[in-house]
Amino acid sequence: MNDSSIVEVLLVEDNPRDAELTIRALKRHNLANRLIHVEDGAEALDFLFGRGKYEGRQIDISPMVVLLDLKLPKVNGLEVLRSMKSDPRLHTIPVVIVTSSAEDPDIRAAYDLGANGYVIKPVQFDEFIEAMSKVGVYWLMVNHTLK
Amino acid sequence: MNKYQTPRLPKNHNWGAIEIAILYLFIGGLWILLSDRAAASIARDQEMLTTIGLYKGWGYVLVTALLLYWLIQRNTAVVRASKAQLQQITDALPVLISYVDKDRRYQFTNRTYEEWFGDSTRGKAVEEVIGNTAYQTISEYIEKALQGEPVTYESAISYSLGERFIHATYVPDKAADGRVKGFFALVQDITENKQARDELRQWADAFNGCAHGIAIGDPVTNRLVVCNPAFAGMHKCRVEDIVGSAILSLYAPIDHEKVRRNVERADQIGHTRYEAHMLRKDGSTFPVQMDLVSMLGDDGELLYRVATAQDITERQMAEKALQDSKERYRIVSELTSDYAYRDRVEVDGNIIPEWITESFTRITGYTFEEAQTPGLWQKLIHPEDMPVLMKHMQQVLSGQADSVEMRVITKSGELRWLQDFSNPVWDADQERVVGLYGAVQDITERKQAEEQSKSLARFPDENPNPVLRATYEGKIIYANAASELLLNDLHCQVGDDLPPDWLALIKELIDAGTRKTIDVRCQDTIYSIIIAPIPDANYVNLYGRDITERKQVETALLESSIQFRTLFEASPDAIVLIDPHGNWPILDCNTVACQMNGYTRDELIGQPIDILNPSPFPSTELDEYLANIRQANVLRYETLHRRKDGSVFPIEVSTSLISLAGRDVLLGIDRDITERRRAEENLRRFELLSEHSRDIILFLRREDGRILEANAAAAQAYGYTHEELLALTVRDLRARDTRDLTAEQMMQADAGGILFETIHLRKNGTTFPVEVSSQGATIGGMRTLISIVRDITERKQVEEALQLKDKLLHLTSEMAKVGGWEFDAQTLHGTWTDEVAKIHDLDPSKETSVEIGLSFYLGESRTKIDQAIKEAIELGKPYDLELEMLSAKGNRKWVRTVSLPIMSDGKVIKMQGIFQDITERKQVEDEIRRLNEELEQRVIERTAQLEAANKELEAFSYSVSHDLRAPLRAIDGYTRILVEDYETNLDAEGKRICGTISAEARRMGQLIDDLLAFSRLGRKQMFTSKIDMKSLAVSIFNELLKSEDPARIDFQITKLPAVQADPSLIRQVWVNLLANAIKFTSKKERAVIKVGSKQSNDEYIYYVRDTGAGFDMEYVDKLFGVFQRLHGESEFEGTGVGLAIVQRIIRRHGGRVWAEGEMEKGATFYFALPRKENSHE
Repeated sequence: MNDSSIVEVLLVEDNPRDAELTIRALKRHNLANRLIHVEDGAEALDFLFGRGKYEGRQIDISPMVVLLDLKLPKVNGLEVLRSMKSDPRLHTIPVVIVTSSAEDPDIRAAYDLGANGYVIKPVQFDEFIEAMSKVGVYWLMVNHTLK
Repeated sequence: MNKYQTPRLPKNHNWGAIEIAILYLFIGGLWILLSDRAAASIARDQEMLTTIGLYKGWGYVLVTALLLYWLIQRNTAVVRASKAQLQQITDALPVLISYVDKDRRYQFTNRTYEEWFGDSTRGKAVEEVIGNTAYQTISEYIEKALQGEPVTYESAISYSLGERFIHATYVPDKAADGRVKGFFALVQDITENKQARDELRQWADAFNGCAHGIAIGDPVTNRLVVCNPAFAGMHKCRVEDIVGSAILSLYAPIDHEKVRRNVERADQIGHTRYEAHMLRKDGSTFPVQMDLVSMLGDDGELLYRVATAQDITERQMAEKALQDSKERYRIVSELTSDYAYRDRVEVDGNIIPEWITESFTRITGYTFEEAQTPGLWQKLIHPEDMPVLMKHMQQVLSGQADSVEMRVITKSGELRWLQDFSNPVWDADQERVVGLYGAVQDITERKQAEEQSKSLARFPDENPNPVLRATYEGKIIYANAASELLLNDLHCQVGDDLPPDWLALIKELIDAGTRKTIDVRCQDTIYSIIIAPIPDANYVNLYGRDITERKQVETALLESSIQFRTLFEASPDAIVLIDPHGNWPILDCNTVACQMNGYTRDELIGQPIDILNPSPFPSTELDEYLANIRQANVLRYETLHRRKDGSVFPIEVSTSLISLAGRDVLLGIDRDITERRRAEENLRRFELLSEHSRDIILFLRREDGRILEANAAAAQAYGYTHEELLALTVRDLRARDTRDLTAEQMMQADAGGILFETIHLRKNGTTFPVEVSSQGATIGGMRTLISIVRDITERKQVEEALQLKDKLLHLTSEMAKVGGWEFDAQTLHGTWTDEVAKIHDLDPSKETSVEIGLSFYLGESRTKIDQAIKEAIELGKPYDLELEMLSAKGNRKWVRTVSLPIMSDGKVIKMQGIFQDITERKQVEDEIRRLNEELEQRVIERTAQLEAANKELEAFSYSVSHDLRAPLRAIDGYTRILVEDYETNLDAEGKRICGTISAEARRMGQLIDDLLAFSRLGRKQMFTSKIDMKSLAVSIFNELLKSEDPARIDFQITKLPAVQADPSLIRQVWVNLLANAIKFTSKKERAVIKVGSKQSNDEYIYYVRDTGAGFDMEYVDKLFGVFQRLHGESEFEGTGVGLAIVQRIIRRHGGRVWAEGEMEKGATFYFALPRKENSHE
């Protein structure tokens, strides 16, 4: 991270291999420059709310997208999502669930809580790279967020 | 304004003479100028100049000659062409076109001339060509034309080839100076045309000349289009005046409707005929008969209506006159004769009455209709007079008027005399008699009178009885010989007047028209004289009869002994004395006789005995009758008498001849046997009754029970004959052990009658049960018992059977705890069986009622039963209820009560029903319900458990597959990254090794997927619907083929039967089988993949056949195993799960799979699905 105050992508992923592949995919399109990777839900919330390790961060400078896994230690993805979407300062931040779960209840729960997208991690490597690239391109280059 | 532009002619420039000349001059001039100069320059010396000049000159001439030739040739060609054109035109026309010069020769003729007159007419003289006769006909016209006058004419000409009618036009050809060079002739053959025109003229003539009026109307405008003069004449106007009028205006208004109707009819059926009145312009009308024809065109459209009118004024007047005369004739004949008639003589000789006046019916009783029936005349005419009538008819039919007298028998059987005057009616030509008319008089009275006077006066002189005739004044104008005595006594002679008292009587009788009989005594002779006035005449006939003897007898009788008289009068039977002579008059009768026959004595005395007979005694049998009496002394017989009032009654007559005052007198003693007859009849009836009765009827003597009489049924029943029975007593008929009761029973029967059952004994020793009804009566003074015995064997059997059934029923009800009940709808009291009482825990012997019954129900049950009973009694509605009740002992019970109301005359009189204790059943039902609920509950729980387990399994397998796949992703991914990032550091072998790692990781992912799918198959819920197998297979194949070269594979698919199955699962089956087929044929250059179906009664069999690698049949069993493969990874890729999945899916549908194969030849994979509506797991 070059400038911790400007974070474009918050990657919440507990699997380091998946995280590395995701970052690699984004790097291909030069989208990984301002990316923060946290490994559990609690740290994600600390970052977003500017507390704990990230005490003092300017929280109104929000990431352009949050890539959120569901299966996380400490605080799971849905909890993070709920917290984000119920807070007036954070609820406009786009949240894309990136998970290996294709279960209907999970999908429904995610959308119910206000997820902006739901991506199922492809099992094949090249498809995975492809999907992540696309997600990155869309949310960072095509999509427009509030400033 | 001319909207067409002046047409521009094509630019075919016509080279005119002047133009050519100028051009020639110009070119010529130029040539000269230039050629000279050229020659001058070329020529070296004079000689050369000359030569050049020479050649120039020749050249010039040559060119000129060529030019001339060309020009002339062209001109002649043009001329020839135009000539040919002319010839063509003229030849084309079917008319004769020619040009005749002033020498009367044909200069030009067209081809038609050749056709008519042969070839080469040109140049020949006209006369020569057409023939002399023809030429003569037209020569004047030719001359006229040659004078310069155009001529047009039509004429009949006889050419050599035949007679023709031609239309000719001659146009003179004048030169510039006015001289006639010749003329053009145009001749048309109008023979046919002429014929047609002639025909038309004929028709026109016929039309105009027709005596009947003909009118043609336009059906659209309904106006007169054209009519002939006759029609106009009928209307007293000219044709022009009337044409164009509206058709209806030509008819009188009253007939307008009739005309309209008939026009419609003509339009429908083509023609019609009707009479109507037409109206002239001046307002007068005249009757016409119209024949109307509606003419249709080829297309069925109405073209015209043609009407032919005939003025029928005269005809109508003639008809009216005839009618009048007929009427007059009828009236006249009505007055003059009794009836008149008119007959028609048919061609076959039959005579049919056309009309007969009313009086015919009055006289004969037959109606006119009856008179027309052939058989009537046979009935009517007296048979003896038929020949006379026939002769009379023949006379008339031969043309002579004739009259005949004949007798007829009227419908009521009366005889009448008729006199018929008949006249023949000739036909118009006086050749045949076509009818006859006549008048008939009823001359019965006259005839009767004649007859009478004839018979009476036939031999008046020889008549042994006095016959006289006297005038109204009493003058005797005739008396026969036998009258002498009488006249002497009266002191009269013929010519004298009768005594005064006679005169008064005569006058009286003549005036009244009646006759009277008086007795006159002349010395010792007594005459009975009938004084009969002659009808319509002023005199009387007197007929006398000597009744002296009779009188003597009468007197004798009167003077007979008082005893006889007393006896006569006192006799309880009727006594009649009859004189057995003449008409057998009754001489005397006693009071009883008078009463019995309903007459007074005066009414009977002197009357013939036949007055008492219902039908006259045949006179021919009288002698025999007398002989019988004489022989038998007293003849006794039964006969019938008729009273004065007409009633007929039976009598028994005893007659004998007695001598009274020296004369034979018939004495008849009559006894009214009506009562006796009645009694006899009654007896007869009873006899019949007893004979036909099926029951045994016995008449027993009270004293000892002896059988006095037995009927046929008795003999049959006991097996004895009638005689045998009469020898027995009633005890003998009884079974041994019942005999002792006999005496007592007989006493009771005698006392007032008895009805009992016992057992009787047959002759053959067998017994049979009987029911006896016995009654005492006195018959013929003797006390008798009348017993009617009925064989009740059958009844007994039925009773026994019934008793048995009853017992059975009782037993059954006890077992089923069903009882019966019934109560009266009015009193609401009734009975129930013991069983019902038991159910109520009540004493069965106690009485019961509806109230008692109802008291055992409570609450809702009570309400229900109250309502049901109310409806049952009021509306007759039966009920069937299950209710809860509390028995007398306090037990809660469930009961079923069913009722049937019994109706009579629309009202419910009785309620019947059954009653059953269903407590046990109810308990059982409850238990079952409880168990069912339990079961359901258990099932629900179990299902929930299973579902939960399923879900768990699903989640497990899902998470397993995911968790297993994630590391695979990493392996594959990182290896690829390695290759990417460290490409330069890796040699080919290194890269290959990395590739292998990636591939294997991917393979493992595939295995996991397949395994997952396979396991999911077992749990997935199946939804069946109808699947179009063919279109499914085709679409799947096309999808799979995307990655293949389509030309390599020949895909054949036939019609596949549709089937009820899970579409997504079956889809999987096709995907796997077809993908396999494609995969295993991939090594072959050309391959055939065939999809088809086989027939079977209970299965739908499908197959996928390929010509690929095939397999060894030895290992066929392994084919469908999971992860089982018969080919190595290096040959064909795959995990070996595909077929296992197919098998699992098909098995889940209740079907089966199998395969056939041959190494390198190919393989066929079959799967069959059951042929049922629902698939099952």
